[in-house]
Amino acid sequence: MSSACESFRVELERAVRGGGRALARLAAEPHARQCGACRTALAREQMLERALAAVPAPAVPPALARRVLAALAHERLRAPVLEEHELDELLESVPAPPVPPDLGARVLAGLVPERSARRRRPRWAWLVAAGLLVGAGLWAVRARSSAPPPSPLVEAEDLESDEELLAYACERWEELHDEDLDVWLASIDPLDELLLEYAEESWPENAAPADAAGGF
Amino acid sequence: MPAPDEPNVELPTPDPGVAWMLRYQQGDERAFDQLVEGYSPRVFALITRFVGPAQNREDLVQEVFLRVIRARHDYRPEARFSTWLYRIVFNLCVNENERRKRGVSLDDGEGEAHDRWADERVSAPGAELERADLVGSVRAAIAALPDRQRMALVLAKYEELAYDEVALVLGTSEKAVKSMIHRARETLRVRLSAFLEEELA
Ligand SMILES: [Zn+2]
Repeated sequence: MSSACESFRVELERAVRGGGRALARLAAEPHARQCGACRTALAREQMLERALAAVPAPAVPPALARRVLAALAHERLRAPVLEEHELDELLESVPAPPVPPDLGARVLAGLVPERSARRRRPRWAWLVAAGLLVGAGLWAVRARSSAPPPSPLVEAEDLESDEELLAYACERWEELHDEDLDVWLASIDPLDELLLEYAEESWPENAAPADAAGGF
Repeated sequence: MPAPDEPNVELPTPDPGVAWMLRYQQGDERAFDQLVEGYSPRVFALITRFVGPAQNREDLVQEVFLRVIRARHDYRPEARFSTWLYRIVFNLCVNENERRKRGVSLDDGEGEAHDRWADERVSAPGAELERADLVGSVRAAIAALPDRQRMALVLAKYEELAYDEVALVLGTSEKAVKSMIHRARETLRVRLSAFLEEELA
């Protein structure tokens, strides 16, 4: 292919983008008249253009827009989608609900029976609790004279689990008043009480917790 | 062919679609009406050229504008409005074709694409019969092109989009569009050779 042909084909490629008119203009070029191959190539593109142009525009059904708008009315009536910052502003505009006075105290009081009810726990926890009870009880009796300054007593309700309660009871045995002791014992799981009894039985006579408690 | 009942919406220059879409974005519902009135015939025509005379074309037009509603906050006026809109149309049409291939189209499922063109075919007595035959063959040849080549050709040829705009619609490069259209035309020349050679002779 000659350079004249090559440049004509480049022009042809460009004319294809411009459609029929651009192709017709190219047909008037001297090279199209002189070169048979390029003339044929141009004619093929022109024929394809005519074939494509012969296809009529699709018939649009009457009142299409009206029906589309009617069908979308429901969607458009929906609340507009909020931007992120608009949503934040709305959420922040909601006031904090008023809290009744002394709510915390009443909730805690109401939860006492539930919190003192038996909770399931693994078997090893009982062994740990029993060991802790016995060991701490012995330590408490023996270290009576050299005990560090006691930290303030806590309420039975403040301790999360029976294990904590038992551990605390053993640790602070001496400091607990009789009245407190009843509360503490009432807070303990029945099974824990069995453990206490067991501990009491297995304690040396002079170091029994009951004795220690009675020593106040 | 303009429909008689279709509102005759004047499309002011340079690009009314961009102005309408921006006003709609700001909450002007009337601007959305104008978008639908101005563009639904073109969307319908493009869908028809791409998927053929399917029964559910109007549903697809609705779906296109539903997506406009839902995507309105993401719209940016970076090109002609039609490029943004046609991108929605293209994605929808490709999904529709996929659904049809899997046989779960909302369409009535009647036959092949060319058969379904039958009801659109103008009744053509005498000399017009040949032309009607040509039209049917061109439609069938276009329908047989791969999705992207077909949309590229339809947009460039019938919607008169520049290659760089076609590239925006298809999410590709202008060079790729040039290649797609070149291949599409090659295929059409082969498929329509009977008609073309006849004319050439
Ligand atoms: Zn030449």
